[in-house]
Amino acid sequence: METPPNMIDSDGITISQAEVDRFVAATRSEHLRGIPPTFLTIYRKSEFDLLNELQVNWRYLLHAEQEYEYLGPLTLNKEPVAVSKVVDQKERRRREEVMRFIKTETDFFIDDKLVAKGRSTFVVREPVEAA
Amino acid sequence: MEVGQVLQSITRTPTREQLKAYAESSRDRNPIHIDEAFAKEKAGLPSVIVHGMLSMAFLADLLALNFPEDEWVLCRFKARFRKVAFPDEALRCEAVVREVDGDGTVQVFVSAHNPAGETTTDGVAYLKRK
Repeated sequence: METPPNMIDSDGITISQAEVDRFVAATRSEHLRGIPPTFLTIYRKSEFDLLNELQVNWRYLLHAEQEYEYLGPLTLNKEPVAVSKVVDQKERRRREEVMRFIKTETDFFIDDKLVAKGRSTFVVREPVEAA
Repeated sequence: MEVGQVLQSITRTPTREQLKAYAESSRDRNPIHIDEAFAKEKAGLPSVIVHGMLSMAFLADLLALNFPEDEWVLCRFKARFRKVAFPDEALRCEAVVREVDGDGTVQVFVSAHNPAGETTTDGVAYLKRK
């Protein structure tokens, strides 16, 4: 299995109050006051680009784990830049399905400062005839 | 905060409309979350499924209830999406203090459970006083 190159993307989305309000409304959060801890999920284009590079069949893709490490403040009116890479991938073949485990890491930068790290694990369970 | 302390819980019942709103807001428009026909016919699921990240957002709200943001800083937050969750099913979100470190970092185990009592998401959060 080949490892695709790192993907860099700013997604072109500024952390605006309107974006935060829309996210809070969609999650129906009642107790969060600032920028929600999972708001960084908006900046996943670089990660999705990696999955496309790996020719993942999205219909069989499941998000298995997500971790965020917060290293600096997420601030309004800034545009984070995400740099994603594949850190591990494994494949397990069974009689009826092929299971792929893909781990990615994403560094989030604001004004060139690392403000957060994201770690994701995906599982793709494809029936053998589709794989 | 004491190890083993059971914190306040919340219940959230995601709807199909909410999944659509979340898909737009989060830019995760995978049709398994928003297209009933696709979920059933193409992905072999009984219906659309809740975004794992939406479940994680419910747990983030639970943390904010128990650890107000003006007093606490969230340092690390990990979630494992153990079982798919479906719209219109109530998710009971719970939190228990797992560890209190010498430097004041509180480790909290969080989990979400469907009406059958199955854990759909769990994880751990590390918080520090400001």
